[in-house]
Amino acid sequence: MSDLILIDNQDNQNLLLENTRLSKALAVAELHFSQLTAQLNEVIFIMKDGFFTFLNPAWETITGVSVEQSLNTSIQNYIHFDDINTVWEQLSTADIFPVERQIEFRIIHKNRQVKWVALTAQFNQNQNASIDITGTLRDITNHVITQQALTESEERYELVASSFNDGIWDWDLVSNDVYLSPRWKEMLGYRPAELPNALTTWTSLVHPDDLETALETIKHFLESPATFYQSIHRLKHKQGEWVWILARGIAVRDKSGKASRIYGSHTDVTLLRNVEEALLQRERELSDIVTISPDGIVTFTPENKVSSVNPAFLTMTGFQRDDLLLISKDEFDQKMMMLCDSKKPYKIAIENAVPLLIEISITKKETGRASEQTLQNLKFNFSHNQPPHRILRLTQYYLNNATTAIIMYFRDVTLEIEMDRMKSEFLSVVAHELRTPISSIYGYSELLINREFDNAAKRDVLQAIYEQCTGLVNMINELLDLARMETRSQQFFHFELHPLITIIKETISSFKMCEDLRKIEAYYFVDESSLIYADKNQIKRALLNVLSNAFKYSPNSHNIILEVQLRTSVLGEAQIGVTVEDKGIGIRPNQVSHIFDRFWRADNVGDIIGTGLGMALVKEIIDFHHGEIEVQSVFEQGTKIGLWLPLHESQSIEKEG
Amino acid sequence: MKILIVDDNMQIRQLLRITFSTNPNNVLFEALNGQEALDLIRSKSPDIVFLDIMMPGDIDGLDVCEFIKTSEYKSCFVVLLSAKGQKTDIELGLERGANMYLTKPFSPMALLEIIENLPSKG
Repeated sequence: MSDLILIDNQDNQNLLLENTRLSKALAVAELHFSQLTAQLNEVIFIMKDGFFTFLNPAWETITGVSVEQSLNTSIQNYIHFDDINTVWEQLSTADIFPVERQIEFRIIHKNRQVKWVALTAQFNQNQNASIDITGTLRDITNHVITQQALTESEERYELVASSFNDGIWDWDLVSNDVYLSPRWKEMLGYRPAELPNALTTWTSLVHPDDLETALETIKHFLESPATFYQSIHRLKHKQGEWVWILARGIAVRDKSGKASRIYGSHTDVTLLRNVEEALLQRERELSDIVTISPDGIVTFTPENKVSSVNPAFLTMTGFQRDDLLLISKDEFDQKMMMLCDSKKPYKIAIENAVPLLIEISITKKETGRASEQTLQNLKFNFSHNQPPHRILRLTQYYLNNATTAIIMYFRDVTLEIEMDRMKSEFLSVVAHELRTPISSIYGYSELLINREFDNAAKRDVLQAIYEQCTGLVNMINELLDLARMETRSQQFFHFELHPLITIIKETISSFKMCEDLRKIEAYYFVDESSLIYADKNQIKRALLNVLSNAFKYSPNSHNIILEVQLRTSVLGEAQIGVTVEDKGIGIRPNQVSHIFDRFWRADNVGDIIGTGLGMALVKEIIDFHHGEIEVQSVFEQGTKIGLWLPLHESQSIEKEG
Repeated sequence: MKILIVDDNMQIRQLLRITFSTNPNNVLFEALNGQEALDLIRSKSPDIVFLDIMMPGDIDGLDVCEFIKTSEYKSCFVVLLSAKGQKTDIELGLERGANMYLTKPFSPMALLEIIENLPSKG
């Protein structure tokens, strides 16, 4: 300081005074600085060209050497021999890395005790190219001992072993000092100096939802005699996302068991957690898929016990879940064989493990068809027919899996097989039905070519050819309509709300039977505005077919009776229906069930012309409208056909609106 | 020549009728089903039968054919006229004793030829 006063120039009185004032202020500042630094646990030092120019009293605590003795000495004198090279290397290459850095190394205390210190230093190059280092030294012996102590037990060893990538923390419960290792901070995206070593660092980063539980766990651990605890909580990464932390810790306890310190590791388990979460999610998805699958799935444990059955399988077979769960494969196979028409195919399937068709009879499920016999009067309700037996394709998969050994996969192929059968049957029937009109056309034209006819006979022959051609065209049109109807494609339908009575009246007025003088007697027992949601043209078509049958198959003088009424179906649904009754030839009781078969015609139709497709078409139309057809017929006395459709529920609301 | 036509289809019967009616020597009988056919065979003893297979009722064309060939009327020439044209159908028809199996559509001129070439009864 005294150097500053040696100024020769008497003219610079003011400057001198100013210097004096500054030096006094500087002295005060230095006093404050040394008082402040005297309070610190950490060593504050300033080095010029490798020699200490300032040290605070904490230095003496760490080294046992007084500050006065240490000034103008090199730090080298105090460093553990094994660490000198490393430290020196770090400090001397400072110009390459003119930044803040942290070095951990050992210092030898005056009493030969080894202490671990962490040096944090700031490097500044001054004007004359020498290097100033300002920094701190912190006693971390306890932490290092902590880490060494961890190797003592296997549990501790594990902790340290996994600590390679883990953050280490140490919480002195007495002083409330907390140490957080550089790796701990790095794990959260921070550089070591960015986060203070304090309990608040941790508490401020813990997820608010997890903080209470985490603290509770530690509190509970400290109060219990346990040596080890672990818990999971989330910490906030510098980037804002949450890092899942597996916290493991042990405590240092006195003889009474009271803990003075706890320390341990924090492991980033986010990836694990995410994988776990994704697995759970996948498992949920898979379980949903199995649940909604239309195919039956049964799984077996490696001990060959049923571990799961899905709803589709229960629907297919009529079994109850509780009857199947945990029964053995043998018992399961027995149950299946009981269901099968023939035991053999099922056995082959399970022995050869190849996909195989098994036929299963389900008597319980026969709810679709309700028949009711009244005196001399056979009445059938045709609604949603379900086949009484089903054909399932069974595939058995063998897995090398810890939880599942066998998966049995059942696909209901009843419909496919039935469709195939119907398709080929249909084709042969069509071919057969086409042959008869073609026979006429072929035969008559051959006769016309080869033989002389008079004009009247020629006219009869040509008339016959013409009629057969007309019949063929009608048949083809009806077949196409049926095919369209079967595709259930909405584009062929135009659904709207209609009053049924309007449709019926329009149908009756457009209905003409040539040369038939009889009338349709219509009786309406419903509100004029009773609505149905329907395709008007299709309903007209169905009713026209039924009406023309009534006329065709009643070659007598009786009128046709048409009635419209309401009823409640077996299932409790409000229905509106139109019934058409004739006093005609009727159908034999044992043939009523064939009425909707394609090309089927009763054996008592005689020479009445028809394709055998009309009622099949009616059935398709009514089915598509979710309706029901009722057939009542007495042989040689007459037939009554009822077409029932769902009454549109909101019709009263519609009326008000 | 006594000819019996058995078919439930009016158009086919009419075609056969027109085909054979040009020869005044032919006497035609018609049946709509198997039972009627049996009745006419017994009462009229025809020389030749043109027989449909699928007909309403309990007795089909094959039954009628078998009846003829196992009865005193077995000299009657039986021509099955069917829409069923599968090989198995034809074999089955000949097995039941038919002299000839023709499938629909058929040639009326060919039928006339059959009648012309029919060996006279004796």
